[in-house]
Amino acid sequence: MKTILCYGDSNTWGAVPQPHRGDGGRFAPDVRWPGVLRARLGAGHTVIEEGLNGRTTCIADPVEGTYKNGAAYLTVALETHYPLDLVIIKLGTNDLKARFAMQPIDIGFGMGQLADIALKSTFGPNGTPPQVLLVAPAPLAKLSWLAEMFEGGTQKSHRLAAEIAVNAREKGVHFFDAGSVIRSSDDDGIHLDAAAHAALGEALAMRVRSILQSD
Amino acid sequence: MTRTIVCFGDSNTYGMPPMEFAGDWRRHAPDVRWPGIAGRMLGPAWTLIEEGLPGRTTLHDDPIEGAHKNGLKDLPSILESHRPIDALVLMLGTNDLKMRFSVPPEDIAASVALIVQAIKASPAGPDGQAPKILLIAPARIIETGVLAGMLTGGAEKSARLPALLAKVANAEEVAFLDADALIAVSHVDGVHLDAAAHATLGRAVAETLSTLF
Repeated sequence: MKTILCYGDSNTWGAVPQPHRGDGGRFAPDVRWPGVLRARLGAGHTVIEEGLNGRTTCIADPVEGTYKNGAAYLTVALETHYPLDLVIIKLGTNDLKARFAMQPIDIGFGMGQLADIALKSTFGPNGTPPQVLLVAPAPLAKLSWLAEMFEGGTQKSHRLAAEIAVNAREKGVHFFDAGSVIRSSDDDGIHLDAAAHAALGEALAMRVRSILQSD
Repeated sequence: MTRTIVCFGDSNTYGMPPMEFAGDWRRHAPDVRWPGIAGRMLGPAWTLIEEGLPGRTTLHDDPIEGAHKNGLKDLPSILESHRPIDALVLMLGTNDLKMRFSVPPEDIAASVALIVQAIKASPAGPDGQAPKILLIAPARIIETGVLAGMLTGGAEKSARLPALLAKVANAEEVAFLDADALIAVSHVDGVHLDAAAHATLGRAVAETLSTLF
């Protein structure tokens, strides 16, 4: 049995793109990318979802809540779901909010910090560290009602993949660029539609298989 | 109708086997742990999500095992990550018995009440309502084995928890299950549940959950 933790934000939780404030909802389990990954990997794999709306890499959000800090909560998620063969971390989008003034290089380091937490943990098989796959989120698309909150974020978002890739290489963990297979929805510029969830789940299933096979 | 149930607890939800020595990091298999047993009994229309963290307290940052053991602090992340949640099964209180927290059983029950109130105030259930709650009183502990020193004075306190937690459930109008009346902790470490206890508890949780809807 291989156990895979999906640690992310609203695009791991499965938020439906919302053209207007309050339109949101959550995609069904089999539509969300972790669900697609679960179906593709099949028997012998447990895929665990830990996606939280608004989660950042490493910042306590003064507006949405201090518990949105991904670095602060990661240990809880790792320890709760021990033993983990692989931890997929897909964060960075919420760090683009104007209130944080995070630069792409900072967000890359934030992802590197998360990789470090997992690598220094004992929550992999037999108390060893789990393997880590850092996934860079797709760049922002056409923003609507969230434009002010993410002012300046679009330009930064196009540099995230490169910055996260550098950190993945430095930490010696796996890397995947979601922007290579999907785009964010133009309904709100931030979230993924059902087709994007499917494509991402498919792509990650191939990647996860190759990572776990080389164990 | 599919049902999503979150099992929020400590090492006895996580499935820590009785510990022979400190730093014994084994874990009962998924189908041995009580959420697994309950999930199998309830069938494929029910999803039981395990959120059990070893050492989790009701609302104390643990200076030794880590600040992340504070259950009340973790609660918003858990509620939001799994919403919409039909019901939350809550079993905490045992780690508050550690001598270093020096809290009487009345305080432990009051702390559990704060968690219950936080859940009731949340929009994490269907249609933005609060999830239903099943409050479980944990089985009383025995001061024995490798954990005895840490839990000095805890056994006596723990024997008073079921009655106090029953009052909380009654006052908050949530479902209640007294695990102490059904199962006993292992004599190996005085805290954790063996496979048979998990099976008994899982069956009781499934039966109670099925009456909530």
